[in-house]
Amino acid sequence: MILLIAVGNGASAAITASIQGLGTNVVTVSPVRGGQDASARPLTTQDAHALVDPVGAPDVKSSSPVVNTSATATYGQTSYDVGSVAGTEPAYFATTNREAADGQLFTSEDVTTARKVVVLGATTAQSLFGTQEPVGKNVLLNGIQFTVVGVLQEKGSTGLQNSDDVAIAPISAVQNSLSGYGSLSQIVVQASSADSISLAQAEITAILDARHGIRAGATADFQIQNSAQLLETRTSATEMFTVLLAAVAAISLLVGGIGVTNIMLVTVTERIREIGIRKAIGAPRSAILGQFLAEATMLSLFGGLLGVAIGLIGSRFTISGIKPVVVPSSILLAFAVSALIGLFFGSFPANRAAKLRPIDALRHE
Amino acid sequence: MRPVIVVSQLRKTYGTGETAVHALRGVDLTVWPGEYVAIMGASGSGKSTLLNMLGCLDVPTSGKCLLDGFGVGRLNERQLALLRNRKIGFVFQSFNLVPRVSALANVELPLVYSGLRRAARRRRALAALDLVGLSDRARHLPNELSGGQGQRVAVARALVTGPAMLLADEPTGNLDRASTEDVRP
Repeated sequence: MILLIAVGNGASAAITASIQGLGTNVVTVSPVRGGQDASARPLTTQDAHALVDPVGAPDVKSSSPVVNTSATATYGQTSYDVGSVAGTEPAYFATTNREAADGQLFTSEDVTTARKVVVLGATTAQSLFGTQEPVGKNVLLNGIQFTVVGVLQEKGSTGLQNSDDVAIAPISAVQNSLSGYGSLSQIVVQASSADSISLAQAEITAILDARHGIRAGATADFQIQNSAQLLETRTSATEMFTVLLAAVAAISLLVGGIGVTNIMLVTVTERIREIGIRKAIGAPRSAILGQFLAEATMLSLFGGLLGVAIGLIGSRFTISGIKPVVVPSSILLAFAVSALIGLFFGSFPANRAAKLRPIDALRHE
Repeated sequence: MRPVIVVSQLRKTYGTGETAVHALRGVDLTVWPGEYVAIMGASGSGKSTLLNMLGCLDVPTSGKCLLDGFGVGRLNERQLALLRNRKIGFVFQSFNLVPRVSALANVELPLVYSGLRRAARRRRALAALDLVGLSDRARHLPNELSGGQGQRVAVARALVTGPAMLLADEPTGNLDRASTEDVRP
């Protein structure tokens, strides 16, 4: 149970961390797909650049257009499906807190000249090159040759997607050769500070409304989310996941509790005569009740201890890409719950023992 | 002076209808403090049934039973347990020691339920064992004792609370002649 909760917590902690890694002053603009009116206009690179406007949008620090696509990367005999291929501009790295661990990031000049260079995430680089040095090598992305200029620092998996399984290239090169010139996947905007985020959001809305010809009150063909909102949607997804795990844990607790009841019933039956003796020399009902409840609680506390130990050992391993995070309070909770289970499921056998009439208990063979 | 045991018109019937067995049919009995009473009779004549009633282990079908002035019929379960603990010392035919704990712990058991503290418990239990001449067997488990010794531990357990009456249901019934001499008061 500890392990299940730890996995759930690990997933949400990773997601929270990855979104916080984005920075609290980041706003993403994404197109609304499948809007009912065909006049919806795609987000363009020009839109992204229009957002950097010291007059109209003083609270926007930088803005980078992003296109996401997928591609198969090939190096020599090795081929690998990259989780996410992103085309963007250099400001994106600063906005998303990513730095090069090896080599360097591409520059604005690479973007303007549409040079076919790529920066790989740690997982991608590892999968393609193994122990070899990737910087300076040429890889094929869907058959088109790109030069690796850098490898990003590791950031860790979010559980839902691995942010190290990426390839990031200049937007112009990606649009040229891989994705085509459709709508942007998103525009990542960095506000000048975390406090000015709502001001920045208002300014972005105003500029894009004007550029897309959206009148006041009409439905926009884009949506703006800041990292807090993004966090919210992601958290609700992982909460579901945690609830599901908790339900599994609850069912196993129920089964375990019935086991405790069974064992205690056997114990009571085995010791009916002893109960009779105790009653004959003046044990009140409460003393017998207390004795068997204490035994049931000890039994289940021992089980709880075992479970916590197994959970702690299990949580040292990574389970399907999620590093479990053990919350100290969940250990406490586990002990409390196992004690309660003992009390609850032990109460029926203990009560039966306590209610025995002394003469019947003594005659029992 | 008031009698320790007053029994009037005590009846006990096992089963119902055609197959009903009348173990006791209106027993009257009065026992005064210091009296030493032996109930004799053939097997199945109801001796044990009567003693079980007196020891508050079983409830009569009808009739009254006063133990040291307390009307047994009117007590609730908790008060009955208290009465068994404080007023009655019971010695069984089959000893009925708790097999998992030592002789000393067996003798201490009634004192545990009367809420005595550990040191006082130990002192009184050792004194009771000494009284039956078994102070050197205090640490032994019941199955490490002979029949006579086991029954003497049971006697010590019955005496340790200083009860108003000592009820013994054929205490030497399971013992040979030599061991019987051990248990005899």
